[in-house]
Amino acid sequence: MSPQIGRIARLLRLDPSDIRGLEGVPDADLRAFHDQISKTLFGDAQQRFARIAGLSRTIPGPLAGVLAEKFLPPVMAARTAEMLEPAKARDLIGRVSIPYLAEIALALDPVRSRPVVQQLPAGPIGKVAKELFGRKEYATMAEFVGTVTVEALVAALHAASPHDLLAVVPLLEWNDNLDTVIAELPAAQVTQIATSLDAGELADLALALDPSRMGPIVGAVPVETVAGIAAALFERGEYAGMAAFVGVVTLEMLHAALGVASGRDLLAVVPLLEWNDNLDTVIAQLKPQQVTAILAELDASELADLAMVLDPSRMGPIVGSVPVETVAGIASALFARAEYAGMARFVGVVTPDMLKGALAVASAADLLAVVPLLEWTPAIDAVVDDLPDAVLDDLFTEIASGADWAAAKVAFERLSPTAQERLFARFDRLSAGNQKRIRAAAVGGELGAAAADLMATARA
Amino acid sequence: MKSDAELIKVLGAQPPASISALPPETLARLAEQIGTAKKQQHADMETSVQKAIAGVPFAVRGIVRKALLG
Repeated sequence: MSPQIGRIARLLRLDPSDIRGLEGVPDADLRAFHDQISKTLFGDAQQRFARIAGLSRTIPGPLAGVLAEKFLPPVMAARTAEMLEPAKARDLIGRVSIPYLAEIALALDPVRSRPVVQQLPAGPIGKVAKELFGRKEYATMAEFVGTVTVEALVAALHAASPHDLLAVVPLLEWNDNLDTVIAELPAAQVTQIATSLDAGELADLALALDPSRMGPIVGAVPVETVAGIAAALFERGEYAGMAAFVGVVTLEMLHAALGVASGRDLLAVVPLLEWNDNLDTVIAQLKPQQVTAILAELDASELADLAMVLDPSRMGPIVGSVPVETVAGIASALFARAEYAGMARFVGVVTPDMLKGALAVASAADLLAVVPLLEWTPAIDAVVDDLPDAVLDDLFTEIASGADWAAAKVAFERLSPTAQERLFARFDRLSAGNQKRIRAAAVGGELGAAAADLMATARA
Repeated sequence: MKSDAELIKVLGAQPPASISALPPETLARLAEQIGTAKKQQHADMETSVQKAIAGVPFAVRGIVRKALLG
């Protein structure tokens, strides 16, 4: 429920649950509506409030304080306070009780009262904040963030318990003053926050605070609690919120957080991470049993997703543990999606057996598409040289029927002489029409010099 | 009659469009709640004024009376 509904209810002296039907109204309109109600309730009495405020100039401060608290109900006192000279307000604030001030604060308009509130000393504001925290008036307090000075904000937030902070922080409209206050929270309070909130509560706080603002608190959270926070956030699917913390947490915290990630958690969070050295270290040091668990949990399509979002050079520990039959499944998924460039990145990372497993599931069209993208190595030569005859027949047919000679030339020239010879040795197996097409292309030099030579040899 | 007519009457102003667009029964209830609060506010104000005039020390009663009653 919007805090504005609470303010309207307070103005009308009703319980917020009695103000039904305003839930979908924008906050700005509710604020305007509140001001209209305030005007209709107190508008006629504005002159009277101005005269009451003027009394503070003639009645001595100690007496004015006593009389105000005795005869001026807080709602009227709030209207009067908004008209006080700042110096008089500063004097009077020390002459009335904190509970009375708290009632006035609840009835004050955060915008109209700003000139007066800005002049008030931080000490009493801290005490009023403590009283309001005690009453759990978080929404109303949050409204005053832009009203008070930074010193008053410091005093107010120092009066907050960790649970008060947890309740009020999500309601705050952030400004520079708050940044200053959070950055300068006393070490004892930071330690208290980090140690007295449980993992779920710290997870809530983490989501409510920008990571750059959580710095001092994050640093004080025990590493063993980080795993609990991460588990809570993973369970809620708060991947973006977690990813934002990667640059703020220590290596040990990152270890603890990713140590509780399931395969699907990793799949969801990894694309959102801004990569850094700590992440490389953590991935490199993943425990074998965690890698095994990830591989067991994710199906080939999901592992293909993970492969596409991870930099292959960072995948080493995971890639090295993938069984060859799983590699074939991942390759099938990626070939089906025509992720040729993405696959080609892995050539330098996988073992020859994995490469063989991957190419074994490639169609001739896949091979023709992926071969030009591979960074060629002797290992690839060995795998390609080992391709079954049937695959070469299909490949040759694909080249002939596709008639994309430029692509075919690039692919052909990547093959080892052995593979090239094997291919042309099977020229007779092509259909008559395909033989004609290949011959014309090879003789015409469209498949490159090697193909032309091999064609000449075949004809001879 | 427009459904927000009562609300406009009690507020003395046109409410924001998003409020005026609320269902008639919500607008009627809001108008009644505001009207009740207005009456209560006036009554409380008068009670406070009378209590204050009667209760403040004699030395300041004159200026308090002037401030409160004009």
